[in-house]
Amino acid sequence: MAFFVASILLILIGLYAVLVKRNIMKIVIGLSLMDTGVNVLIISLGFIRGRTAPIVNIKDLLVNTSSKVVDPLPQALVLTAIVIGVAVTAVALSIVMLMYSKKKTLEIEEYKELKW
Amino acid sequence: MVNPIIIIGVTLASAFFIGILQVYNRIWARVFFLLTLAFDFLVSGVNFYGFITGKIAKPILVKIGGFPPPIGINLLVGKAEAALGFLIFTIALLGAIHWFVRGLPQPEGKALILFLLLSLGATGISFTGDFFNLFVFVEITSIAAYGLVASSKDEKALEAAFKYMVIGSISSTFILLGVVFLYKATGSLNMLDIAGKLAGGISSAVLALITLMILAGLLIELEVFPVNGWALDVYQGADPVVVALLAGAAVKAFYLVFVKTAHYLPLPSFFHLALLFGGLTYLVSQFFAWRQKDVRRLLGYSSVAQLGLLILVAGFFLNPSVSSSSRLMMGLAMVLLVFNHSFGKSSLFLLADNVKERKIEGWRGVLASNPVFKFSFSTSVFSIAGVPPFPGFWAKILLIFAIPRNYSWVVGLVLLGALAEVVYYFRFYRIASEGKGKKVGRNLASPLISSLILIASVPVVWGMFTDKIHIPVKPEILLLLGISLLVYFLGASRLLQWIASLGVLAYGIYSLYPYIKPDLHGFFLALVLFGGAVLLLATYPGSKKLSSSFYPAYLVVLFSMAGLVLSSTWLSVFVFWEIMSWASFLLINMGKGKKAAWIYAVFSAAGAYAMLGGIYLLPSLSLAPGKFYGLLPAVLISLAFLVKMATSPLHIWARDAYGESPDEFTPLLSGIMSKMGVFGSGLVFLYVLTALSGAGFRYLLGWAGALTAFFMTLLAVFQDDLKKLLAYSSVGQVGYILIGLSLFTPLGWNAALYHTVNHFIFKGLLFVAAAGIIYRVGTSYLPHMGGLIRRMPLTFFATLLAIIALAGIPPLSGFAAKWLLYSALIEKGWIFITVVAFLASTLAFLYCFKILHAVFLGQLQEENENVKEAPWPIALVEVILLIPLGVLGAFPNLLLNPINKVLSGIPGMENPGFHYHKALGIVSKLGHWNAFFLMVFLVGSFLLALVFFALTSARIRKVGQLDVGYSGEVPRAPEDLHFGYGLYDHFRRAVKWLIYPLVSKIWRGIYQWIGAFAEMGRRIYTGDVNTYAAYVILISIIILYAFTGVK
Amino acid sequence: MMWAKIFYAFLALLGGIAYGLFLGGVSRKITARMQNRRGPTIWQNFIDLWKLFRKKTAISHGVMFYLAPMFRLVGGAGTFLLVPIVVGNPYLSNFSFGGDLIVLMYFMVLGCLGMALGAAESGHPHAPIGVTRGLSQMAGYELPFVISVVVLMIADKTTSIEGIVRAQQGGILHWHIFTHPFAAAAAFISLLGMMGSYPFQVVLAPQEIAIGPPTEYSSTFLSYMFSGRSVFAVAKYLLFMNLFLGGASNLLWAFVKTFVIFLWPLFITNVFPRFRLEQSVLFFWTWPSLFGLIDLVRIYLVR
Repeated sequence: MAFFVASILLILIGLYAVLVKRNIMKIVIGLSLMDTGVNVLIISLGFIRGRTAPIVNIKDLLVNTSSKVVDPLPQALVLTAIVIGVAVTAVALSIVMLMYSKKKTLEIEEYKELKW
Repeated sequence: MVNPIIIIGVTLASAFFIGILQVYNRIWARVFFLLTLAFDFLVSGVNFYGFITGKIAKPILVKIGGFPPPIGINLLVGKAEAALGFLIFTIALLGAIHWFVRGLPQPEGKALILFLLLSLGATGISFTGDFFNLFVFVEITSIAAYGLVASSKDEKALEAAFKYMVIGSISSTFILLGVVFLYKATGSLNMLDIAGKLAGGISSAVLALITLMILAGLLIELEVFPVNGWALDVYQGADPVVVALLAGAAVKAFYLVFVKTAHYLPLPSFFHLALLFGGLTYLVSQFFAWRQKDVRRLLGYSSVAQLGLLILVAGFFLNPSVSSSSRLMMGLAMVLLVFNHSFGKSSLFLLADNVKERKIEGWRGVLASNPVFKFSFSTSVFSIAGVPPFPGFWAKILLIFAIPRNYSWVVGLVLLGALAEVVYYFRFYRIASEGKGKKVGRNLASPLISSLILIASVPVVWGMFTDKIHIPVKPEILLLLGISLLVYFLGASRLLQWIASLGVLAYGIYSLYPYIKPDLHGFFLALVLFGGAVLLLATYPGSKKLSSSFYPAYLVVLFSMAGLVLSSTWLSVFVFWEIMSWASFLLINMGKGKKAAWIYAVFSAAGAYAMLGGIYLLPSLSLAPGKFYGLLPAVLISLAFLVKMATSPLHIWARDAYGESPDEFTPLLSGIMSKMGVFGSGLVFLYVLTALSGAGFRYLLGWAGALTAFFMTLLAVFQDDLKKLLAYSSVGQVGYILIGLSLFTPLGWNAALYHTVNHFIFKGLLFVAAAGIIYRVGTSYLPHMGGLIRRMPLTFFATLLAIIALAGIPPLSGFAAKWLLYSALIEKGWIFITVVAFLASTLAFLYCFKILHAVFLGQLQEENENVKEAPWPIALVEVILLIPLGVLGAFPNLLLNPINKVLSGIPGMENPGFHYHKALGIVSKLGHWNAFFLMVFLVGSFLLALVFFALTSARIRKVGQLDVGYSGEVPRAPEDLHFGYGLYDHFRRAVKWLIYPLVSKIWRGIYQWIGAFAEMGRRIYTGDVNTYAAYVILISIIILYAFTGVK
Repeated sequence: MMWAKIFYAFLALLGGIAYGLFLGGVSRKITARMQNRRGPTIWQNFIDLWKLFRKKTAISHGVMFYLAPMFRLVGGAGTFLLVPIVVGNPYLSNFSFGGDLIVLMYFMVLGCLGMALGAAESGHPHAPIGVTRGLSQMAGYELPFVISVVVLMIADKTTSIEGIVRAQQGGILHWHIFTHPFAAAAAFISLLGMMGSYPFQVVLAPQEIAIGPPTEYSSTFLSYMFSGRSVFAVAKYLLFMNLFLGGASNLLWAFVKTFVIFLWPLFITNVFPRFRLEQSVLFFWTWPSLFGLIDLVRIYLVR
C-alpha cells in the first residue's frame, strides 16, 4: 500500500511540475518524477507480500516456482521502461540545452512563438 | 513472402552501422542509408504485393526468440499492416530523396540515424502483436521524432520539439500504465490472446478504464482536439521533411494501432468516443484553418482534421451494430483516406519546404514558377480537398453512404467540414496561382508523389464505376473522358489541340448519338453535344496565353455534362456534377480572375455537398418518379443546381467567374453549363417532389427566378465591362427558365426548355462575339470601345440579332420563350411574378441598347482605327448560330415539337397546353401568336419600305464620323463626341436603393464572421506547454469519466 | 380573302398615318390656343411631312442610320396593324390574328429599338442621351402599365385583345375603365410617359438635346420617322381604347374614343412643368403602380 501511495504521490508531484512550473528544467524534472512514479507503481503491481525475487537459480525456488516468487514480468517491463526513461530524459535535456544556447533563458514564457 | 522481422532487424542494424560509418566516410554513409530505405521499401513492397494478389493468404506471425505466443513477443503482419509498412517506407524513401536534393540538416549522421529509427519505430508500431512491445516501439518512434524535430536547430523547431516531448511523454505514460494494468487484469500482453479473452466485449469497469487509458494515450498521439497544440506546433516549426514523415507515415501507424486496440479491446463506448473526438477534431480543425496565415500551420490544421475524420470512420467501422456492408464501405473509405492524406499531405509539406516563405501571402506567384511545381501542387491540393478523380473524393462518397440513417447528422458534419476545407485550401490555391512567378527550390519527391496519386486514382476510379459501389455510367463516357485527358499531350500547339479536340468531340457525338432519345436526358444531351461542338469551334485561335490544359479541361467539362445528363441514378448525377464543377473551376482559374475562381469553387462545393447530403436522405437513388421524398432532400439537392444557375441570392460568384474566365470558355459556361442547373432542377421536380407536394417550394423557386431576373438585369444595366454585363444578363435570363420550370405546367416547361435552347443560341453567340471583340480590341471595358460597326460589321449584325432575340422582340427566336412563359404564368395565376418578370424584361432593353451602342455605335475611337473583323472561326460560329435564331423565329414548332415529344413522356404533361391553328399560329387557352406571319410581314414590309425609300429618297450623302451638328463648331476628336461613360447615370440615381449590394455584403459578412470565430477559437492553442499539459489532463479525466460506462 | 385583308389593312395604315398627322396638328393648335397664340394650321404636320419628303439631299452616317427610319416606320405600322380597330369586323381588324397582347407589347419595342440604333450610329452624343433617357423612362412607366394589363388578362382570362374587348361588351359600365378603375388610372398615367408629354418630356427635350435621338436625321429619313411616330401614337390610342373603353363598334366610335384618349395627355402636357428622369421613374414606380396594385390585389383575392 505504501508503494501505491508513494508512486501516485510521485506521479502527482511530477504532474504538478509539468502543469504549473514555468521553468523548462523543472518541467523536465517533473517528467522524470512522473516516470519514476510510474515505474514504482508497476513494480508494486507485481509485488506479492511474502514472496521473493524471481531469481530461479536459488535451490528452493526450483519447485513450485510460481507460488513462491513475485510476478517477474512487471520487473522486466520496468527495466525496459527505465532504459527508455533515461533515453527520453537525455533527449529532453539536450533539447533544453540547445534551447538555452539560443535564447539564454529557461523561462517557458519565452518559448511561445508557435501558437494559434 | 519476406519475414517482416528482416525489415526491423536490418534497419536497426544499419542505423547503428551508419553511426559508425559516417565518422569515416559521409558519402558511403549516405549511400548506405538510401540503400537501407530502398531495401525496406522493396521488402515491404513484396509483402504488400503478396497480400493484394492473394499469394499470402493469412497474416504472417513471427515468433521472436522462438517463444510461441502468448509467452514470447511476436510480430503479426496482415494485409493492413503490410500496406502500412509499404506506405511508411515509400514516404520515407521519397522524403529521404527530397532531403538529399535539398540538403541534409547538420550533423547529418545523427539525422540519418534518427530518420531510420523513426521509420523503423512506425513500422514496429504497426507490425507488433504485443502490447508491451507496442509501448517500446512507441517510445522508439517518439524519441526519434523528438530528435528529428529538434534537428533543424532553429528556435521554432526546438520549441516544437520540447512541447512534443512533454506531451508525448505524458501520452506514453498513459500507454505504459494502461499496458501494465492490462497485463495485471488479463494476465497476458499478447494482442490476439487478450482479444480472445475479451471476445464478448468488455464488461468490467476496471477493464474499461484500462482500455481507455491506452486509447487516451493513443488519442493524444493522434492529435485530437484539444490536445493537439503540440502537433500543430511541430507541423509549423519542424523541418517539413520530418513533418512529411510524421504526418504521412508515423501518425498513420498510431492510427492503425488505435483501430487495432479498439478492435482487440472491444469497449462498448468506443463508438461514442470516436464519434465525439473524431467529429469534434475534424470540424473544429477545418474551421480553425479558415484564416490561418502560416502555410505550414494551415497544413497542420488540415492534417489534424483528416485524422479526426479517420477516427470518426474508425468509430463506424468497429461498431458492431452497423451493417456489414456499411462497415465494408467504411473500411474502404478508411484505406482511401489514409492513402490520400499520407501522400497528398507529405507532398504538400515537401513543397512547403521548397517555398521558403512561411506566410501564405508569400506564396503569391509560386504556381507560375514552373509547370512541375504547378502539377504537384495542384494534384496534392486537389486530392486533399477531395476533388475528383482523386481517392479523397471517392472516400467521401463511400463514407457518407455508409453512415447509418440514425446518424445522419454526421453526414452534415462531414460535409460542413469538407466545405470549410474547400474554402481554405482553394484560398491557398488562389494565392498561389496569383501573380507573376516566384522562384522555388528544386523538388523531385513531390512530383513523384503526385504522379503516384494520379496513377493510383485510375484503379480507384475504375473500382468505383465497376464493382464496389457501382456508379452506373455509360462506358462511352469514361472512354471519352480518358481520351480528353490525352489531348493534353499535344500541348505543344494550340492548333493541334483544337483540331484534336474537334476530333474527339466528333467521336463523342458519334458514339453518344444513340442516346439522344426523346426524353429529358436526350434533349439535354443533344444540347451538350451539338452546342458544345459549335462553341468548341469558336475557341481557336484563342488568346496567346491559353494554357495547354485548356482543351483537356474543356472536353472534360463537355463529357462530364454528357455523363450527367445520361445519369440513371442520383449518385452518378453527383459524381459527374463534381467532375464538371472542378474541371470548370480549372478553366475559370486560367483566366485573370483567381479570386472569382475561388468563389466559384466555394459556391460549387457548397452546392455539391448540399446535394450529396440531399441524395443521402433519399430512400432510393434511382431517377424514377416516386412518392414524395420530403422537402429537405429536395431543397438540399436543388441548392447545387441553383448555385450553377446563379439564382439569387446564390449568384455572387457569377459576375466575376463569367467576366474573368478565359474568353474561349465563357460561351460554354453561360450557354450550356448553366443549363445543367436547369436539367437538375427538372430532375428534382420530377423525381423528388410530386406535383402536389412541391407546390409551395416551386412557388418559392418561381419567386427566386423572378427576383434573379429582375435584379441581375438591373445590375447588368450599370455594368461597364462587356463580359460582366453579359454575365449578369445570362444569369437573369436563366432566372426566366427557372420560373418556367417552377410553374410545372406543360406550357411552363415548354417555355423553360425552349428558352434553354434559345438562351444557348443567343448567349453563346453573344459571348463568342464578345470573345472576338475582346480579341481584336484588347479590352472588355465598354467605354473604351464604340463605332466598331464600321470595322466588324458581321459581328455587329450577329450581335444585333442576338440582342433582338435576347430582348424577346419578335420576329426572332427569343420571343417564343417570352410568349410561352407569360401565357403559362397568367394561366397558372402567378400574377405578381408575371409583373416582376415583365418589368425585368423591360429593363433588359436598357442594357441591350448599351451593348450595341457602347461597342458598335457612336464614334470609333482612334486607337481602334485598325481593328479587323473577328477571326474566322469566331465569324463562322456567329453565322452558324444566326441560322437557328432566324429559323426558330419563323418556325418555333421546329423546337416546340421535339420539346413536346420530350414532355409527352412525363406524367401530367402529355398535353402541351397549346395547339396550332392555320391562321392564328400557336393558340393557347388565353391567346395566340403567329410567328410565321409576323416574320413574313416584318421582312416583307421592311423590304417594301426600303425599296420605296430607295426609289423616292433624296440624294444620300455619306458623311464622316465627325460631321455632326456640334453647335456650329468643329469637333476635334472622336472622344469628344462619344458618350460612353455613365450611360445610365440618371437611371442609377432613381434605383440607387435597389442596387445596394446587400447580398454580397451578407456573404462577405458570413465569411468574415466565421473567420473571426475561428480565429478566436484557435486561441486555445496558447503555445504554452503548461496549458497543453493541462488540456491533456482535462481530456483524460473526461475520457476516463465519461466513457467507462459498461452495460 | 388574304389579299383583301392586306388591302384593307394597307388602307387602314394610310388612314392611321393621316389620322396621326392630323392629331399632331390638332395638338399644336390646341396648345397654341391655350397659350394665346394663333398657332399653325391643323394640317401643318402634313405640310411638314411633304416638305421633308421632298428635300433634295440627305446625309447618312452609316448602314444602321440608313435603315433606322424603315425600322421605325415598320415598327409603328406593325404595332398599328396588330391592334384591331373594330373588333368583329374582318376588314377593320387589321392583322390582329398575328398575335395577342403579349406579342403586341414586345412588338412595340421594335421600332424604338431600330430608331435608337440608327440614332446612336450618327455619332452625335445627344442621341444616346435621348435614347437612354427614353429607355429608362420606359422602365418607369412599364411597371404600372404591365400591372394594369395583367389585371385585365387575369380578369378576362385571355391575353388576346379581341377577347378583352369582348369581355367589355354589354353596356358602358362593363368598360374596364369602370370595372377596374385603379388599373385604368395606372395605365392612363403611364400613357403620359409613353407619349413623352410633360411632365415626362425629358426624353426628347427639344431645348437641351435638340429632340434627342433623331437629332441627326433630316429630309426623307425624317419624314419616315415622322410618319412612323404618328401611326405609332395612333396605335397606342387604339390599344387603350380597346383595353379600357370597350373597343369600338364602328369607325366613328373609334374616332371619338381615340380622340378622347388623345386629349388626355394633351391637357396634362400644357399645364405641368417637367420631371427629371429619376423623378419620373420613381413617380411611375410609386403612385400609378400603387393604384394598379390595388386592382391587382383585388383580382388576386377575388380569383
